[in-house]
Amino acid sequence: MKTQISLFITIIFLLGCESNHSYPWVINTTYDDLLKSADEKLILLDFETEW
Amino acid sequence: MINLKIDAEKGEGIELAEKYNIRGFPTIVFTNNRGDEIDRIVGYKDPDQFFSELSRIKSGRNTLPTLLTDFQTNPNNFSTLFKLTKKYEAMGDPASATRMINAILKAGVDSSGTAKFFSILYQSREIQKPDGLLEYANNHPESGYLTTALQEAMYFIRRIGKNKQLEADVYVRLINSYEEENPGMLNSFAWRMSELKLYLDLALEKVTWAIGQTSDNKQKHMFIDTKAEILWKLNRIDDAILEIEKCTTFDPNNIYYKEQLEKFKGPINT
Repeated sequence: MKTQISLFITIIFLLGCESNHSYPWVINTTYDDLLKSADEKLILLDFETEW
Repeated sequence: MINLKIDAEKGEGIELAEKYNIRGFPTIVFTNNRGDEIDRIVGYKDPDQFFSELSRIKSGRNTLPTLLTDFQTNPNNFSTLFKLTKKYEAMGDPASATRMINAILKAGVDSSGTAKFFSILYQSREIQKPDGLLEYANNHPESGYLTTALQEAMYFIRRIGKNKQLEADVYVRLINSYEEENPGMLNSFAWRMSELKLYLDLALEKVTWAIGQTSDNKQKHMFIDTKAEILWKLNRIDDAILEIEKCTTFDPNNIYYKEQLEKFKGPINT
């Protein structure tokens, strides 16, 4: 019973983490280097200015 | 997905902003690993809208590569061609947008007249003249694109700067073309009429309505300032002073409102 409950909680935890994707920002890299390392991933470029 | 923030005014950001025709902020561009644009999101979106767009782009729905594949399969499909038109327009590629519009017209699938309008619009933007748009507005007063035609025409007329009466006439037609009156838009109209010294009575009517519609005090007093300016231009000096004093009372530290008051109390406006 304890094993089943632990397994259930673990599954819920893993599923919960899986559903909350985080998309960290890449830093300290040039765009060209990023392209080389991107493989088949989609690249998001967020253009901003200071003002 | 890999995410990179780019300062469009520094370092490689300057070149990248030019490469991807970034004309406003925020703009988010999605590319593949060859730097080819897949899609973009322009302007502010609330969280639901943003994530809806993100989901669409990640799934490949209506992205540029998908639409180009659809185009290969069916080169005369209006929906695909028009979606490509709008994609290229958003990407700052008017030549490709025009090519798509011309393809619609050539295929004879423009039953709604949409491509005809956009052909006129793109041509007007290329030559920077309002004539085609004004002719369209005159000939299609019931068109769903009437407001866009008048708006763009007014932009060119104002930019050319040689015909204030025409600009004012088109602006009046423009505000009358909106389905719902918008206080901010009417304040802008009223202010511009005060600058042109045309349609001042109409401008006074519209800004007075706008004042009554606004609950935000800061915005309301900006509109009151517009009203004061119009009254001053109509030589109703005492009324102008009464209005601007509402502004100086609301915001005693506002230098602009103080300057307006001094201006109205000064020599008579000629």
